[in-house]
Amino acid sequence: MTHVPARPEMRAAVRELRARRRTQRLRHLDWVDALYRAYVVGISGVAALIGFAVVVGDAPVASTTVRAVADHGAAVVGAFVAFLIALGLRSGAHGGPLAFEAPDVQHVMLAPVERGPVVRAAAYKQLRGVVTSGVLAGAVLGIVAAPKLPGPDRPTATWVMSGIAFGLLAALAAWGSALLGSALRITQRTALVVGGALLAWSAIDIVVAVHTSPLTWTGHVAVWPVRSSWWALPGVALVGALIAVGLARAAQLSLEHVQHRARLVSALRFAATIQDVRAVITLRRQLTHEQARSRPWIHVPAGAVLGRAAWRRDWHGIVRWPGARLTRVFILTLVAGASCAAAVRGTTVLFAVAAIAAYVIALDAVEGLAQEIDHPDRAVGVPQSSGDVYFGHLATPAALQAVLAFLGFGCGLAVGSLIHRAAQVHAVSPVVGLAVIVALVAVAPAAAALSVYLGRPDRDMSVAMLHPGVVAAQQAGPLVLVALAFLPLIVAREVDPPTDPIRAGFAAAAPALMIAFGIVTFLRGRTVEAG
Amino acid sequence: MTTPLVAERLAKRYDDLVALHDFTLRTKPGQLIALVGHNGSGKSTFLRLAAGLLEPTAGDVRICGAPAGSLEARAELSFIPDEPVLYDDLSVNEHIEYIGRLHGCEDWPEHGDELLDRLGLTDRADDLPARFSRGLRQKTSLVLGLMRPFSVLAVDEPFVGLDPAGQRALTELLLETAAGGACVIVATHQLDFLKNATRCIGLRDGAVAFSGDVDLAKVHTLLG
Repeated sequence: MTHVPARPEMRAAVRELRARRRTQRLRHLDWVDALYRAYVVGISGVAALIGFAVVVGDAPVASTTVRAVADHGAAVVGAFVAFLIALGLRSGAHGGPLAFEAPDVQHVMLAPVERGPVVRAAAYKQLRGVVTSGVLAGAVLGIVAAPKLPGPDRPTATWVMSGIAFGLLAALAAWGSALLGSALRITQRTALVVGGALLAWSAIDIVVAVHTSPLTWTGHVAVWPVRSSWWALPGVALVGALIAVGLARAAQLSLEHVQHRARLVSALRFAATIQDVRAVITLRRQLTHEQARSRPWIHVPAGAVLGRAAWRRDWHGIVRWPGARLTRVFILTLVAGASCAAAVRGTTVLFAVAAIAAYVIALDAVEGLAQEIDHPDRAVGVPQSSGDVYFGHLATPAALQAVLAFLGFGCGLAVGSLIHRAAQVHAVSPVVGLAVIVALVAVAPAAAALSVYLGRPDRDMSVAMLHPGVVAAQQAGPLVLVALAFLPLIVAREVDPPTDPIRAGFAAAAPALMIAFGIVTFLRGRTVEAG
Repeated sequence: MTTPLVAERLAKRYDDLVALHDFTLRTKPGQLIALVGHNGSGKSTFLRLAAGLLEPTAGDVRICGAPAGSLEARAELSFIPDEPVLYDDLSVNEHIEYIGRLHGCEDWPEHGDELLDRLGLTDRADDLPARFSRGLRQKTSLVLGLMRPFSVLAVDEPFVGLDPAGQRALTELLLETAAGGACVIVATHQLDFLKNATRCIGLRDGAVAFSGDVDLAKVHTLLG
């Protein structure tokens, strides 16, 4: 029988390896580069914070709103925590949140050493980042909430403390549920059912105005300055228990998932570092096992023998979308519609949410074109200019975007009518929504196609090497273009009589349409050189 | 004596793809088993199931009586993957020290040096494998898999990227390992190697096509 090394022996080996690698990393660290990166992150963080504070504003809310926050705030915030837990469970079903290096899986996890200390060491390391992020996000929320919900017994410090406590709790709940899900080896279906049940429970609490869900209890931490409740304590205890059980059972994780993640996470981090959106998307799909279905949902009807190759190819791809992608696109469509409805009624920042949702949908919709651009050599063998091939691949995303835009429009109308009933807030005419649809159908696929084209594998990296901001601008640009599609709603909301808001709204769609035309013309003019 | 590796009605599915189906195997110490089959026939899947890197959909693998992937099984089975998996920031010698200490081998400096010498890596022992060619990385991976104690050696495509001298050295090492009493299972497309095997298992579409003494006619029929 082979010798199984004693525990202290192995711990010493792992500890010494880590120390040695840390020393080597520090020895080879480029301090100037590290300081520059810290500077960029710091500046970006401060800019984002200021931007967020400006958009949200610091005007105190009405007393009715304060009462609503006191009565329903905990349940609404609890629903947000339920959403985070659902995401955490989904990550756990795919082996998250921990990610090991591939050599650690091969040499440490397969060695006859106890996995518990190895896994927990990685978990504690990640936990430090989770705690820091939660505290920072919570502090920002506290700072933003303080001027909007002022009161003699609600000083800013109380809001900041409450925000920090809640941010920490929410981050730990998401991370802990992922860890527990991974340790219990739950399936994706179980994650979906449990996450859905928690969300439904929170929704019942909101609608019926009761506080039965344990996640509503955690919500009491967030609204403590408005209405303190000792129900917050069991909420805190619940999250603590989640973390404790997750850490205790962490070693039970599936090595199959660990190995899969080890292969992809390092590549994903690298892609994120160099801001390669396309690589991030494809790697993330692999990480979440988001693969094309072997059997399509529906069969694309047979067409003419020749012609419209790209159009048919793209539909063949879409009817094989996995359930997760279809669900995501559907939810993002509803989010975009609902965000628009709320944005035209005053919460302008929600236009950004709608734009992000539309952009993410468009990135999924241009998959056929993206795969063409991913493999530039393929175009060389086609008796058409690559520009014409790219152009052909834009028709299907535009058609899909049109269908989804109408769905989002319907959702926006429904949400708008609910808001109107509750608050009698002024809104723009629904007709302006048609201008947004037209702009979106044109500009969203074009912007996504531009993003994919700018990140193509054979791109000239020399410009990007000049400054990381160049790459950031390349990646943010298409998102800004998609945001232009929502300009008609903003313009129609802001114009004063006698200007006709509908006419002004349709006129505001022109920039998006012109830009879309420019992008399509640019892509159509592209040629790929053999080589 | 404990059976080194027993697989009972082992199966592995990925959604609707059957990677391995109803695979049963009982090995003996000192056997050198060659696994042959087309790409995707289930060779690597079986080896990864035995190593505990994959979880079976059905059936069971035991290494010296312990379930695959358990602490005891990990002490008994050494798995060398088809693609070398190495730390970017450790030299070959540092890899050897780490693996040796993880496995509690007191003779790691001598054993490591011997393997480096046999595979022609002595001159590169202080270099980082991250800067190696595919062949040198493969040799490093082989050294790490062979230097630790084991009763079962599972090797996936070990000859890929090796020069002729490296292939000869590896064949000798595998023969010596089997002669030393370990059960050696090699998944390979290298038909020249089959003459060294004591048993050959042919896989087709995740199922056993044949199993027994090496019969090159059967192998050629299987591989077309």
